Amino acid sequence: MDCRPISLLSTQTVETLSAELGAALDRRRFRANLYVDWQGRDGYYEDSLVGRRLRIGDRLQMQVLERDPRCKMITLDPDTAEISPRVLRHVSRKHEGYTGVYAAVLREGVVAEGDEVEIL
Amino acid sequence: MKSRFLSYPSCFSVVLDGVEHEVEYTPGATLLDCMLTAGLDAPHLCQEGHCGTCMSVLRSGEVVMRENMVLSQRDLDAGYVLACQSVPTSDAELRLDMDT
Repeated sequence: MDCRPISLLSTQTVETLSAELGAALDRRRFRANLYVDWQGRDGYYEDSLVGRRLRIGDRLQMQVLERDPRCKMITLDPDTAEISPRVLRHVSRKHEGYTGVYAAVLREGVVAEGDEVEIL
Repeated sequence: MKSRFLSYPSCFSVVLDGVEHEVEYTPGATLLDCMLTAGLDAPHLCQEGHCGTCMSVLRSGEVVMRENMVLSQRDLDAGYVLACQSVPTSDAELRLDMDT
């Protein structure tokens, strides 16, 4: 369900879940607005940024609001729509049902792939 | 006023994490309620019928879901039910598979 302006998810989190489930997960399954590479951080690092501000690129600033509670949508393969309920079951059991974070825009800005993400 | 007597099984089986369990059924309770009462680590989150965490395949038996805000017709046709919303409507053997 869409209840916040921006969702953000790291590639490290997708890799963590893939390892935990023993299957490569397509990050598109999690339908984030922004995918971030924290370069060297562990999965679910973005959870620690709740309450922090981020700057992406030259201008965009966002406030990380809360962890993103997941639902049945992550059980669907983004290409085939094949259902894998075990993905959500795993997220609920091992990560309290959360994957990724929600954020709100504080200052608008145009971003592009490759832009640096700065934690303010 | 029409009333309808619903029968129910005394127990049901559930496959969870590769193990089949026999769970006592409490009249009026949902399948998830009974599993949690029995001490099973049944996956669940909202318990309101909108997240889908407890979606399971009903291998046999009959249930009605109090709410369903997440299962599509395709899911229902495939036999999925929400354990947190499902209440038996007959005393037919009820088998649930949470390992789908």
